[in-house]
Amino acid sequence: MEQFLQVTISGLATGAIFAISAVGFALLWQTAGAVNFAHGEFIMVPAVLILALGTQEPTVGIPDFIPLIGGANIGVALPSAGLPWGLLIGFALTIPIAIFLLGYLFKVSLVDRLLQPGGDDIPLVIATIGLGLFLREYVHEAWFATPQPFPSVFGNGFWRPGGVAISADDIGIIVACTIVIGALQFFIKRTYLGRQMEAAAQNAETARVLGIPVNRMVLLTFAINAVLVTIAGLLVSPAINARWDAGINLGLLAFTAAIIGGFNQVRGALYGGFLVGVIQNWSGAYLSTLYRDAGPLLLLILVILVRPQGLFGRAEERRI
Amino acid sequence: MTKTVDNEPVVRVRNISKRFGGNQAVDDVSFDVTKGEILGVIGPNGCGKSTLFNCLLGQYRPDNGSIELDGIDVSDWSPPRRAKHGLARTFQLLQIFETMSVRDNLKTAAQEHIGSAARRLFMRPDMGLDGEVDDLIERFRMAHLADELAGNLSYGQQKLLDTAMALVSKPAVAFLDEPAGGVNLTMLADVEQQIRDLNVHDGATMVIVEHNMEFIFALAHRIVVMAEGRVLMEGTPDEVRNDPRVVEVYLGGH
Amino acid sequence: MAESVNVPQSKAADGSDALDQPDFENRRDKIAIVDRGRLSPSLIALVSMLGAAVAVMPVGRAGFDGVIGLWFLSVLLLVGVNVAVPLDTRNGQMVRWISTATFVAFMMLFPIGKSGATMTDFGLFAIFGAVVVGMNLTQGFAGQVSLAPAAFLGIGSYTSVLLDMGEEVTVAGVTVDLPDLPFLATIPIAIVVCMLLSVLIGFPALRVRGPWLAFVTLAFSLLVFLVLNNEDGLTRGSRGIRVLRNDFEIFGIDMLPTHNFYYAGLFYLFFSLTVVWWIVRSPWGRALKAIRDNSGRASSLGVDVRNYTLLGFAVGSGLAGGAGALYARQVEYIEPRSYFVNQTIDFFLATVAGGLGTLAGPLIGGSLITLVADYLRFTGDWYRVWFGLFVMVMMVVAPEGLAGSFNRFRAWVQKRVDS
Repeated sequence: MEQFLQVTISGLATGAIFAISAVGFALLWQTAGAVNFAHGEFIMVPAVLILALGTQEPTVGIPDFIPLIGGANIGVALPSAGLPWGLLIGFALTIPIAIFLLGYLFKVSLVDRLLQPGGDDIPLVIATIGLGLFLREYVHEAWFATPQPFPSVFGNGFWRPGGVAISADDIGIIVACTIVIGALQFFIKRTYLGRQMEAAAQNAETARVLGIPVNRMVLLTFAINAVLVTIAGLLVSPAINARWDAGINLGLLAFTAAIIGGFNQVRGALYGGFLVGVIQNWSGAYLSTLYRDAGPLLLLILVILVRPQGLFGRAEERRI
Repeated sequence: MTKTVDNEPVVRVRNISKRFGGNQAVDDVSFDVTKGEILGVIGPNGCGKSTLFNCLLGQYRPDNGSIELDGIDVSDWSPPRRAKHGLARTFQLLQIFETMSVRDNLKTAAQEHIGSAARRLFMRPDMGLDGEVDDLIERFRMAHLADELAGNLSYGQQKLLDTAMALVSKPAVAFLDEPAGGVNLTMLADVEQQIRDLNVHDGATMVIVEHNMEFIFALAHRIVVMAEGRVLMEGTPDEVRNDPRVVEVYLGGH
Repeated sequence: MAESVNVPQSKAADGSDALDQPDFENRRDKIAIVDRGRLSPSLIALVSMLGAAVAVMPVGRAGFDGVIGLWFLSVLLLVGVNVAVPLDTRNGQMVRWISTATFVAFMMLFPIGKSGATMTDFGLFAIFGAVVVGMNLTQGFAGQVSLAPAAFLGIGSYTSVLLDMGEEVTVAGVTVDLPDLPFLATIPIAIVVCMLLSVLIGFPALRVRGPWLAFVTLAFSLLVFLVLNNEDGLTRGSRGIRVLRNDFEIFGIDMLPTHNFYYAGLFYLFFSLTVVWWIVRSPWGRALKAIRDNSGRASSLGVDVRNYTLLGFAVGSGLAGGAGALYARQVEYIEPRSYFVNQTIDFFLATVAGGLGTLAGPLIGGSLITLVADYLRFTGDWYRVWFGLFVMVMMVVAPEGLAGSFNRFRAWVQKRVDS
């Protein structure tokens, strides 16, 4: 029983991270119709940035950003701030960079050019697979080829209430993700801007007629996605280290979560995320540690077989 | 012109309903299609004609109702299966293979009705269809265009090709969604002539949705009038023409 | 082959097109099937000489030493003739046949006098080329993204090697004594196993249109990797298997020396090309083209979109499986890491960069990830960064790939020459 609780709680923690990354994935799908096969790299790159910007105490440095043209190591000396602070500074610095690179630039340079309304989605799939390779190999070549330890924002504490070992990291992740998700839901459901965004996502044509700046709303979702992946990168990296090849697994699990839960609903992606996290940890604990990822993947194939719109999604009839 | 019709129903449509959200697009529609006839379906815009076609041909799954072909319920069949068993169609918006030649368009439309899938792999690309296809091209007066890419044709010719594609496989019933839509006057008489020709000489059975009243009244043996998703009335062109309800639907709005 | 050029259309939806007859007299783009011209003996002689030069020049030299400039010039001239002569004419067809024959002759004669290392490279090109050919069928002709070619390559490798070794294996506590089959017999088995597996995973994924196959095959790739890596009793896990090359003879010729084995790979590459060419020109090819053009219309005409697409995926996967059997012999050592997702991404990008829906594209793409990659090895792994960037830029600028761009270039040139 203790083990079960322990496994489930850490499953929920992992699941919370998958949930926010899956939400980002689903948002792009809904508003722009964009399937992003570089989503995992979108989580990995901010993590690497955070590490590069935040933990090289006492320097907050911008490492060789563009080694192709021979960038230099520009650093600003910081008073010894302690690790979590460095991390948080790195995080704060990364968010605008992520919004620009993974939000704005991604939308303008790839999505807008490759995704014609009513057109084929395959060119964007191809381009994002290329983008994934580019980001992965770039980090591998320009930054580091070996996994880098990544400290947790929440420290390494442990509690043992009633024999169940609970790590501070897990609890911190669950709390942080709940806050993020709550804030996002509040934004979408309760604020004017958020409702405009939802309207644009559900029916771009009608929204346009109603005077909603659809394009700006789509851009907003890209920005939100960039923030979400940055948070996911910050939270997930302590468990798996900051590594160049983390994106393949992360991306696959994120969109596994999105598909299992249901692509076309933010709610679906949320539930899917938690489900994938818990199932992953259960299959790791009770099946075999070697097959941790097998559970979610089998479930993915099963869901596509039985209910392609996802467990919590609604069926869409293709209009002709 | 002679209008001769057997009384044997080929297609039996029963109680088809389809709802999109709060909008009842098709509401309990039933009718029979008799062998050898041309059945017209008319009605104001948005009365559910195209949705009805999509339900009958398998593009949409109706909420309710069934369609029978020669006494067999085909309601659960996929669109290609229905097509292979003789339910052909065109779409309201032009749907042709623009990067293929006119001849290849027609061969594509005909080839799935010949042989088994495995045998098709080892057949010659023309599949012995050349004669049949060229025949139809000739009749539709497109011989000079046979090797032209379909995308290069004029709109009227593309529309004609679209119709020909539905008819090349000699289907039990061809459902034509506005074959005269957007076709200019010169071409219109031609389209009318081809359709009548196929009906009279080849006994082709057709269900035609059309907005052009003159066109459909001249062609159809029987006409179904739809309004707001329902069948308003059914009768010969003369009966429909003189029915006050039809006039009201078209002139009086709702 | 995607030779067709889309000509700007002058559609008048309202039917206002003057006489509803396109003005053919003033159009350059009409397809003149009627008059295909006469064969020109001097052109044929010129092209044959160029072809012979391209094929024979490297023979007996370690590299292209001494002739590299001349060789490149000949290749360029041959390409130039291909560009200049319209494809629809008899001359064009002949030029194309001679060019194809030149390629075959070049590949056949090339090993003479080459070092073992060079031939290992070329052997790998032939094998990976076959994988890309298969992938191009799935993606270019059937229009579905498969992200599992490396997994199928792996399944093919392990199937072939295990059946060839004929040892005892243990899966989930069950011990099976595998038969010891001759290597040649394991190749069709590998192909069939991969085709069956691909049908199994493709069937649910192709129920609905959309990028589902890409997701499912990606998940499948990871599952395959997990199994290869963890089923110690079957695959020896991450330690890998040292493949012993033995018992591979055809007509009494020992195929094991590197030079001879290259011909096995080359034969398989030609075999793959023939299979794809056959499918594409058969009525199935027309159905696949129709599906890519307008799947809704195709399905309403009786074309079973799902079955045809599934077929394209299955044949593509099967070709990857057979290539896997040869690959294991070529590299003599197999381990799960060789079949991970990054290998798939290589194949995928090669397919796209070469040109989707063409027969020459996969050859270009295959050379990009073997010969060109090997040539660029000095950059560390930077060439992979550039490759990713290249594919992104290409999708924006020229989504038809290198072979497709070549076709477009040829069409452009001929239009210029014409007018």
